[in-house]
Amino acid sequence: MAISFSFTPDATRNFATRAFAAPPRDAETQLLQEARAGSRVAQGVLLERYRERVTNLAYSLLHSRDDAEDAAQEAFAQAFSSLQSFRGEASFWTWLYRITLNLCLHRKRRSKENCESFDDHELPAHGDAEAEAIARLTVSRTLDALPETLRVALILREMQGLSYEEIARVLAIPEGTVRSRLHEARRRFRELWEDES
Amino acid sequence: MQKLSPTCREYSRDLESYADGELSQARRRDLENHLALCKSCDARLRKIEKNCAIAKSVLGSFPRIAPRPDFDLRVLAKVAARQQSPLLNFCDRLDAVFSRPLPKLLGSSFSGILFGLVLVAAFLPRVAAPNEATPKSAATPDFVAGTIPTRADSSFYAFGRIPNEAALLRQFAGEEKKRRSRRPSVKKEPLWNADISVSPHSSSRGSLC
Repeated sequence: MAISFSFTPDATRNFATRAFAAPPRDAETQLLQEARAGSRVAQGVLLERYRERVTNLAYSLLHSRDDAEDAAQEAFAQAFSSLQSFRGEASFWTWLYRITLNLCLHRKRRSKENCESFDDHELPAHGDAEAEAIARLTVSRTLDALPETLRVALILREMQGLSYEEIARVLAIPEGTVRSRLHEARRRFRELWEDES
Repeated sequence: MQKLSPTCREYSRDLESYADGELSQARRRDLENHLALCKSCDARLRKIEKNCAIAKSVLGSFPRIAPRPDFDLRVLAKVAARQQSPLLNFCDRLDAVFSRPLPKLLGSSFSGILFGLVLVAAFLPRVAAPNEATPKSAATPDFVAGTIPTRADSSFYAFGRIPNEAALLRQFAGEEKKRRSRRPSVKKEPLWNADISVSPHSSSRGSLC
């Protein structure tokens, strides 16, 4: 079965090519101090800054809008509740990404144990939307066929647009390992994708 | 698989970074010089570039979602709930730790071993070394290795875990007695009552008739 892969063009189409510009460290340190003290305004600023990225990271891992939003909210709640233990050795977004990744992978493992499938109820009934949803499911299935370590590296690179250095910091692994994981992940992804389509 | 020369092996590590645009300018120039001369490395780079292009085109156009308008409110509500219940925080962390493969394996093996030990402790009688001078208590006598507890040692039976064991034993004993009494009694003639005659032709040994 040949699957044509074309999503409707929108403003956010090539999001992965946009570099992730982390805010200046000093300004963020001040913001974090205020958030740690319980300032709702500071927490609101952090939320506004990162909510879209965190939600989309969760979405690329979980492939379900509801699950992704819930996981992203949980990640922010965990981060804000444990700000006291955040020592500032890594940047806030690296830490937040790590929390989100762990939460999503935890959910994913659980749903695998419970043999839950994709969000089939999100499939629209007719037309282009249906084709688009099928294409999305095919991508999700292909990604899920990859081992967890390779999948995460590939998502962070191709869907989140992180550099090797940033991926290394989020996953706490050397850059050489990132490179070899990406190489293997792309090779396997291509094989699986060609099999699917 | 084709064996690489040491030079090619060194450059092959950089191919992925080169295709990704992650290589420093100096290293990039070196690699390009090598690629101009080495056909096999060039072919490998084409393959890697193809893999990159497919991953980029498929995953790069995966749709994005915008968080719902009540996202911030929900997060702040969750933070407030956590502040009210520190136990929730702790349970979440514990849950997250034990969902990972290695801690999960260790946790389940540890609990399995613990369960096994509890079973062994519950169902096996305590065995003491024969030379060990253990004080015998009247309620629970020790089962000394090499000796079989006798019926007279009534407290041993009291140690049993079957409810109403003493009553059951009495019942079994009564049934056995009845069974024995019902069995027709066969009078066994002792061997020495048999008629033994000594024939004059036989030797001094007697023969049974």
